[in-house]
Amino acid sequence: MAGGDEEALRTLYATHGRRLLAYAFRLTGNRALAEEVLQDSLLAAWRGARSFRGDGRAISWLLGIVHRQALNATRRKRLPGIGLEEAEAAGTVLAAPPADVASAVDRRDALGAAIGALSVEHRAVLELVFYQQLTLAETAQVCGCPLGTVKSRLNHAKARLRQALEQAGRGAEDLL
Amino acid sequence: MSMGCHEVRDQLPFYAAGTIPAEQRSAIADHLASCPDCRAEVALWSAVGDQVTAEDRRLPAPSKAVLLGALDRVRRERQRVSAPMRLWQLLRAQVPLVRRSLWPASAVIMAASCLLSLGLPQGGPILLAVVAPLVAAAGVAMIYGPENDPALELALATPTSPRQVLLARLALVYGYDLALALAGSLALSAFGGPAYALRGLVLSWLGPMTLLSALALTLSLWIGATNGATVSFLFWLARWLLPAPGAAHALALPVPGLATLAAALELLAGSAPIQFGLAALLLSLGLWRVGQATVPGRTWA
Repeated sequence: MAGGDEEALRTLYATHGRRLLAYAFRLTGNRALAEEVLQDSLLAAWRGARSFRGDGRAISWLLGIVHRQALNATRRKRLPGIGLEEAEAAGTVLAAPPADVASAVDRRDALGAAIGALSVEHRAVLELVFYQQLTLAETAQVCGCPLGTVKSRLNHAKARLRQALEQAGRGAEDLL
Repeated sequence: MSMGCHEVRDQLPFYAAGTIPAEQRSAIADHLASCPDCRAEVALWSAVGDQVTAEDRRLPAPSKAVLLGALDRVRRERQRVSAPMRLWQLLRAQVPLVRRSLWPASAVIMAASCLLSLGLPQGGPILLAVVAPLVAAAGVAMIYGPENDPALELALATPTSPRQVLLARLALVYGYDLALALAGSLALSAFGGPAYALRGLVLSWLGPMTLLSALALTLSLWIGATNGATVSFLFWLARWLLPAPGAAHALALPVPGLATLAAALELLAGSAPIQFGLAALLLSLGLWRVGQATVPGRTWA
């Protein structure tokens, strides 16, 4: 491998490493596993870069790789990750929010706890929209789902966050 | 016209994240000015955005071991693939990245020039010898650079060096045009009668095609594909339109230096070693340029 090739991978890592790790961590909830996913993703990007046709931003292509690698890793290790089971489990959280949400004094804590109580799919969408600054179409591309699914996940997350805030005695109007 | 809540709701998270295009943004802002419900929703999304971003910013940077491990795995993987296989993979990977219209367009123009050659009176310049260098130059001018390749930014961060990418694409496009011109020459020599001897035919376009392609490629790296192709076209037109030294010509103009230029072009057109030598020089210049243009550590938008 020529020196220039190593430089290329280092550049990729220096430019996007932190963002990709943040997404991997959001999906796995485990720092060590997130770093493992990041390394697998770097390798997958290196392998697949020749097939990237440039129809979109490089970052959303890379985040899509992290998404798939995280899915594989959580399946491989049988961890609760992104999957249907998680989406179903999300319903039970809606009925019974964690006690710390209700007792949180600071609304930021309440919001943070409520976001933490969301399913991985819902947290992933929030991460892509707000931290990664992706558009609706890019978010759908990364998650590998239709636009409508992203919209319904956002609506679902909103309903649950609002409910959690209300139970903590903090309505959405407090945020104004 | 003002938007309604149902039109706006799905866009509010993206509005709060600041990823909505400006024109839609102002329409949403107009709606928000008169809708307290949607304003409350934007406030909720903004707070969610702040929270998510703050959490991610607290996350420490990935450890260096992640990168070192990835580099190690890449090295091991590359050792497993043999050199001819790598070359084949590199060439195959470039096919979808070259403009798709290039393949049929080159074939149609070359075939048309062969058919027309058969209909033209013999004795003048062979049409294929005029057209083949132009087709190859136009194709080669389009193989590299952001003007032609939206994926180039990413390709530059891959294990294949920019020079390898350039050479692989050049081999593909030039090789394809070479095959087309050869096929055309074979067809002309088979059906065109004694005036179209294969050896003479091939020699009539091979040198000019190589030189003009190298000129177009190298120029395209400095001044862009369109300009590079245009300058090469003009160069080639000058070769055919300027009067040969000492000959009476319809375009004989009293411009100083024109005769010298025509003499230089005539000399160039008549000497295959000069053509190939110049082509090699131009290609080296192009490869040097590609190496210079990619600075390690560049950032992507």
